[in-house]
Amino acid sequence: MLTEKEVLATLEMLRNEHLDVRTVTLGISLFDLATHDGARFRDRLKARITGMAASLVEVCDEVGDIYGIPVVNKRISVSPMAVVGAPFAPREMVQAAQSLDEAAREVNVDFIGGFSALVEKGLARGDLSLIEAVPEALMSTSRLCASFNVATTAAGVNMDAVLLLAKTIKAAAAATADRDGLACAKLGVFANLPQDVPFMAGAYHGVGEPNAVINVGVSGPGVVKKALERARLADAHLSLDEVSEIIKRTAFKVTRVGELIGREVARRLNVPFGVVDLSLAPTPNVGDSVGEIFQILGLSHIGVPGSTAALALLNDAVKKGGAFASSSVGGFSGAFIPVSEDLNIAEAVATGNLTLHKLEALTSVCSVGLDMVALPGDTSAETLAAIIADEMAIGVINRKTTAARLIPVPGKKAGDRAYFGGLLGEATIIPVPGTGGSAGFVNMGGRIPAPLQSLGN
Amino acid sequence: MPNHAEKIVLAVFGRDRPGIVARVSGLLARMNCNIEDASQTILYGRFAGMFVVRPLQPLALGDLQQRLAEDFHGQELVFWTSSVEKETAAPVAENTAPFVVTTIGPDQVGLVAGITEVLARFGVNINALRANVKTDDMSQWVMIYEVDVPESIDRGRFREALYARAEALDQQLSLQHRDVFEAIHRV
Repeated sequence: MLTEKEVLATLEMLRNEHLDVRTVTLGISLFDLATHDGARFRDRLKARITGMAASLVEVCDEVGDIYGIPVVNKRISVSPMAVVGAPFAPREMVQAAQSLDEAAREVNVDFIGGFSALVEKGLARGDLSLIEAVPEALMSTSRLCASFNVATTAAGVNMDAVLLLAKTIKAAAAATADRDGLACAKLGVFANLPQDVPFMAGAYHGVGEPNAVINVGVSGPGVVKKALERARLADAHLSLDEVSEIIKRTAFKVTRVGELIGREVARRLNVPFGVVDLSLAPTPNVGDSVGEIFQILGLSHIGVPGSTAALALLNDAVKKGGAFASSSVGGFSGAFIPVSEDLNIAEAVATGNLTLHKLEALTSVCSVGLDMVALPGDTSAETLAAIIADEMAIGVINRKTTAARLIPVPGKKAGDRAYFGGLLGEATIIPVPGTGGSAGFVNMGGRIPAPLQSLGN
Repeated sequence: MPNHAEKIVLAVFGRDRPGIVARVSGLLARMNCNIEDASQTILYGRFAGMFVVRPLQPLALGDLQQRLAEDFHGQELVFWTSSVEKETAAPVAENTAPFVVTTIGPDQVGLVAGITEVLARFGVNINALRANVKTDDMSQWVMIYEVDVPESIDRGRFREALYARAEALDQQLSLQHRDVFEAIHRV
């Protein structure tokens, strides 16, 4: 028999603390569809995706209904298009992107990821073709996401790719200038990008993955915040080691829910279950914010001194709880601090408490990086490249994933607001100190070699 | 020849106090009856216990009842016995899935009747029920039903009927598979 406490605590998490499964992502391999014939490839691709994902949304809703835990997003990730479509010219890459988008719309998933290239050591023909296609591909689609791995601890940082992608980000922003550069919100540049990420924009179906797989991204900032609030109410002298314990226990619960739902969806779709991504993912709703957790911990805003230490504690405790809850942990697995997607973080930027430099510092101890950061529209490609390079270096040296999802908002300057809509939210444009002073460095090009950390064998 | 029972279900009711189980089980031991299953609950200071016992030597129900009446004379305990026939010991169970129904809202006459009427109509069996669950908000009455939902029924219709009834009774209702509660709270 269940105890009353177990039942009531679960209901509370659902009703008032935004407990949900943030995403169930179906990974689909496209490698066996490869052909030089673009039209034939697109037909096969659409048939594959609409066939395999035909009931994904229905099954997720059904399973969510049975357990009373909503699955907020249903997504698809596919094999990196730069590899699968290596023979294609940029025009055909754009068409492939549109076919992915159409397939996603047909099966009614929220996003499809995998318009991706792995270029940490160099740019192959397919990579160049895909990158050239990115601005038009993202402009002419609504559900497609693009991701690029430009650095790994084993390979170093490909600075040629970094600069090329910085220019591509500028072009993508220009192509969607009427929507505040929305295309850039669906374009992530990564170091050490895992192959099994369920979250966008980084999701792609890795080369080491099976034909199909279900990966799950859990949520839970609201649940963590409420648990800490209750504990502080009960004990005004709560110490940080007790805080860590509470977060750990909460992360355990959240992860168990994710795995339960993910495994049931996988069973019903008859595909293997992959991983639970332990990231704390906020949404632009009050009470579902990572930034609010900092305030419970006694910091006036995320970004003030002490924030890096607080985030380190939070991130570590989430991982400890999550790792105990599931033996299939993967993806990013850490806290997200996406500026526009988190009301509280967006506000900290608007009030000047959270700066670009502090965001960079925070990313050294958490999951993703400079995520959904709106920048002045006149930020040069070289400055963008330099910001990305700094972020990549943190990932490479610390053997972790880092990312940059930067939006240079056309025609807007620091302090203006940019609007992206829905889960992507809105944000105040953050100033870039020292902007324009990095061109000489990034234009040197080449590769920052792999660090000593790579020599682990 | 007296009708000797294979197994006996014995139910005991009365004002709760220390020693009820000790005395009942002591008597059963003296009568050479093995206790194979037991459950008890206490509500408002009243005890209710059920025992499934197997006599190791022939025993008629009437004999057991007589011994209980003699031993507990004047103790304000009520006994009920029933024999369990071999074929009815394990009723053929339909495939079911375990769900938990909770309602939260103002207390009222007919609340349990209203919810359980829907459960009964769909052949959903209740295997644990708790009312008067304490929460911070005293105006809110919480009820928890652990139920077995037959796999043969149309769960969508069942859900709709249940939610509609809850709305009519001004209750917030949830219907969730039991596994989620265990997954969240148990290691």
